[in-house]
Amino acid sequence: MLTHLDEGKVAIIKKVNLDNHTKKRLTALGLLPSSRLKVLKIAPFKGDILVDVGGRPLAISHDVAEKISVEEVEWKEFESV
Amino acid sequence: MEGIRIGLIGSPNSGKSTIFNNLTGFYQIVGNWPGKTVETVERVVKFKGRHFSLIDFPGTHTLTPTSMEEEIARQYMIENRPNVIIQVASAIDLERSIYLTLELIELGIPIVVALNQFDEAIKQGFEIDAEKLSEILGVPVIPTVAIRGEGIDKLVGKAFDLAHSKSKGKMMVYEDIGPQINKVMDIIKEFLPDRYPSEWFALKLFEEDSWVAKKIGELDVKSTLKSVLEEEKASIEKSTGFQSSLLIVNKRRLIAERIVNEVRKIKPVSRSKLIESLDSLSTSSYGYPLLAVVIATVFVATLGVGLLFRNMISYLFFGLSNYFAFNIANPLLSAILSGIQLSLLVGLSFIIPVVFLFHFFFSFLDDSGYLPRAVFLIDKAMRRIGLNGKAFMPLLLGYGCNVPACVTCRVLEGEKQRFVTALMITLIPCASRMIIICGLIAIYIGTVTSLAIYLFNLFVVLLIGMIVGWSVDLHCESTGLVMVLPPYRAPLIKNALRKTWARAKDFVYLAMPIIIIGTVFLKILEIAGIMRHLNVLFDPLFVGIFGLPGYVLSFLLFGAIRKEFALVFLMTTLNGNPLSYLSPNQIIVFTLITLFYIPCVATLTTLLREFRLNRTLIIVGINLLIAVIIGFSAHVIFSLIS
Repeated sequence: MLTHLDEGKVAIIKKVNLDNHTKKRLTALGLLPSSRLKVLKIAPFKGDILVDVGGRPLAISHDVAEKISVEEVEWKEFESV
Repeated sequence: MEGIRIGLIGSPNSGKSTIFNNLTGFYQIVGNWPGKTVETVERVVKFKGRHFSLIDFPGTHTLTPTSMEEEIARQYMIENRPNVIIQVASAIDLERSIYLTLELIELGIPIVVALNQFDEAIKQGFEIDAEKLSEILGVPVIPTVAIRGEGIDKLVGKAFDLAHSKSKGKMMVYEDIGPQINKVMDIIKEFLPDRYPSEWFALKLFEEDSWVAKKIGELDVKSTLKSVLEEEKASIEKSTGFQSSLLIVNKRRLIAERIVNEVRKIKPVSRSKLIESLDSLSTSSYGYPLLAVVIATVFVATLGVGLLFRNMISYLFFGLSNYFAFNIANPLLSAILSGIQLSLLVGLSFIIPVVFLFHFFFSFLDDSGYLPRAVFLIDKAMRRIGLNGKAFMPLLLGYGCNVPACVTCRVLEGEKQRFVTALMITLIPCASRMIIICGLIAIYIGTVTSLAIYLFNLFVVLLIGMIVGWSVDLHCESTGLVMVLPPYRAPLIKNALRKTWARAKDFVYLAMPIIIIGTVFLKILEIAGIMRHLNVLFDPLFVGIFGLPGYVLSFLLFGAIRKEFALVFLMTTLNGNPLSYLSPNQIIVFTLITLFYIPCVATLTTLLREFRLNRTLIIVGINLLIAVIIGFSAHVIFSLIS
């Protein structure tokens, strides 16, 4: 899960377990299975997660991030645009 | 030739509002956060000898609406089809911009793309081939730098060229699902009114768009549609392994990604260390104290510098009025003259400095891009109320003026969220109430007390938000936040000044004349002895509940028109010296009541438009109730202490 990653980690999205409407919105913003992201910041108190997707910072609230399963990959593979 | 209608659309932070200002010469608020244009406005524009109507759509990343404002905007676009669309695309955020271009192309309306922030993109090492982009998309792409007005002429020229053409971009999303979409299109084409693009409607049916499905449902549809649609959806899912709705969204994204790779080269540049560390600091746990410091600085600076100005202006004014001292025997004439003199003094010395300073500091903050970082930090805390971080913007805006703040509630996703946020906004002391806090508390009681009142108010706002949120089951509706953070930008003094004027000019044009007329009117009432009758009538009620003289009712009535009137008429009636009529405790009780008792007329009008009568009445009722409870409790506490 995205919420399990630490700051600075890079991962590939495996699955998005959300309703279709939210899924469409996330997809449009670049958050979909197979896309790569880097966790930039995690707000304190299990707060929002700031990720880099396609070179742009995106804030995602904890409960949405909880529904995104990811697989951590090596740092080298991530090229921030 | 019939008038041309140009639609202006673009993602938040693309510079759309700046282009709007370029074209209209009007000044619309430009800010560095998503969701400023919340209403779809159509207005007639004359730009360098060309006449056209310009439709300004709210900033959006996609035509798949997630909030009420986006839904309204899209419906407007379909129902009142413009001749041509100018899409303001951000050269810094190219992929997401192209995503929107692809969606716009599907609508079948001619498009011109303004590739804006072109200079900033170069600075960030992006080299974009606009010609190649134009070729791939099949629509003109004009590089622009809206802040300096570069490329705008060319943009409008191109829009005019295309307005009456049938020029369309390339429908790329069609690849390999074309046959399925065409089958559905053939069915709906027969009964769909001509003004609707049947291709787009068919595509949206596959995307499971609820508005389109509803619209089709209202028409006299052939019964075969449903089964054909289901069949074709299944065929897509079988051949691709994806649900059709997600497949289409994903396709657009992949196409956008592919296009970006084709037209953009990246040269590595090092980002400014200062901005990098500021960015990092403002989103870490140090961000909370930073947020508190930033907000406190805005208020303390406004109050402090405001008081300084006030002293200077009133010193100057008293000097002048001594110089022009007159002695008039006619009581009526003397009332009129002293009314004018007092209202000018109070107006100039309180309203102008406080309002202008607050809006100046706020505009500066607004432009910097800092506020969305605060949203990122505060989202979690807002969820405790059942709201999400997005509600932070309207709430903060409420400190400037409740009216745009209530309109901005449209960016929120659910009906209950909008209602609870609007209720909280009406309790937030806007700049007008800031004048009261500054003019009564900061001057006659102390600066520390005025800040304490702000904190107490914040406590009440959060408490009421929590209670009402809980009683309407807000948590059930709560949807997660997903928000693009804009880059930090160095705010320009010039922009902040223009924005300040746009936000504060009402106080000069609208409020000052009413203040002068109202003061003279009250002065005449006073010499006619009507004020005494009012006192006798309302004294029992006000003295009993709040320990205040009955005549404050007249200030409160004026305050319902514009909140600062409550202070102005108190000052002018009490001859600029409230302490000789009221005790410090009474002043505090009066201020507390004015903070909560009723939304002003402009806010009420906005609430009626946004929330209808019933909910507006509920908000007013809650406001009044809070004012009575707090005013009464404060009075009781003060009398127990003394």
